[in-house]
Amino acid sequence: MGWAQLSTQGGCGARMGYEQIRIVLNNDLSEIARLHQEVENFGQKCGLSSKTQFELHLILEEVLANIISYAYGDNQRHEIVVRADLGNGELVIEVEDDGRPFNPLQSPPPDLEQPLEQRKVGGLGLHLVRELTSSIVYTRRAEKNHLVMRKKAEKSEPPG
Amino acid sequence: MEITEEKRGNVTVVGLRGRLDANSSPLAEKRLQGFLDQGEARIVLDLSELTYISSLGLRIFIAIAKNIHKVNGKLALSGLNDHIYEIFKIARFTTIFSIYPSCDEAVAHCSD
Repeated sequence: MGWAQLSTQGGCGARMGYEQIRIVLNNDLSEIARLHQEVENFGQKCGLSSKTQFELHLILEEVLANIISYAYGDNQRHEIVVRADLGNGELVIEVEDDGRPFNPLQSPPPDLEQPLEQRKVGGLGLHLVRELTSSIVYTRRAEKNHLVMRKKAEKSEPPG
Repeated sequence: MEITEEKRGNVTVVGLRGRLDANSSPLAEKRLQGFLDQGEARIVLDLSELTYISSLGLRIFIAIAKNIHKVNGKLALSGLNDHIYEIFKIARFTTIFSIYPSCDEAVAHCSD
């Protein structure tokens, strides 16, 4: 059974709602706009708090911008698969790409204590991702990078 | 992303409206650098209508701040929403930028 069959319809507003989204992107930075649009639809459908929505956008943009910018040495078109599952108050975010092996957990943390003149911004994106997720698991398998990130999902306050 | 400009005395207030992400950052950086190239050295970035920022947006702030520092200018930020302020804290930007709740306070800081 594929992921599509597992999706429930209209269950997201419920307290124990379960929802998922799957987005396939090309390795082109212009695809980030489509990513944001899809994530916005997902976040609203799930009734996620504005904070969780903001952070989900940020996590996915950082990971995807990194892959699109650095994972490929050729000029070929590649597909990057993004999945987000919401269940039991937790988001499970998966990203799979067929780029060169890259384990973000091994990238050195940026030095954030430097004064302005010495501050570098390299590595800041992955730092944000690490700070905004509760766990990150990296696997290289079948010539693909597979990243699974978990994050607590807050629901928006019901009106009134 | 919409960028507005307003002169208040010797300070230029630049309003960033909308989303500062991978798509809008290159153009926003060009516009901001343009103000510096025109000789503006006292700049307030009014972020009260900025709804989203990623590391590519944060990168611009560092670049602009360094360039203003080089010409002994002044830079202040104002109006950050809670989510953006949180990102600034995680990136430790709160220790290297002058951040004010209101645009008026940021302008006062820069006009001194």
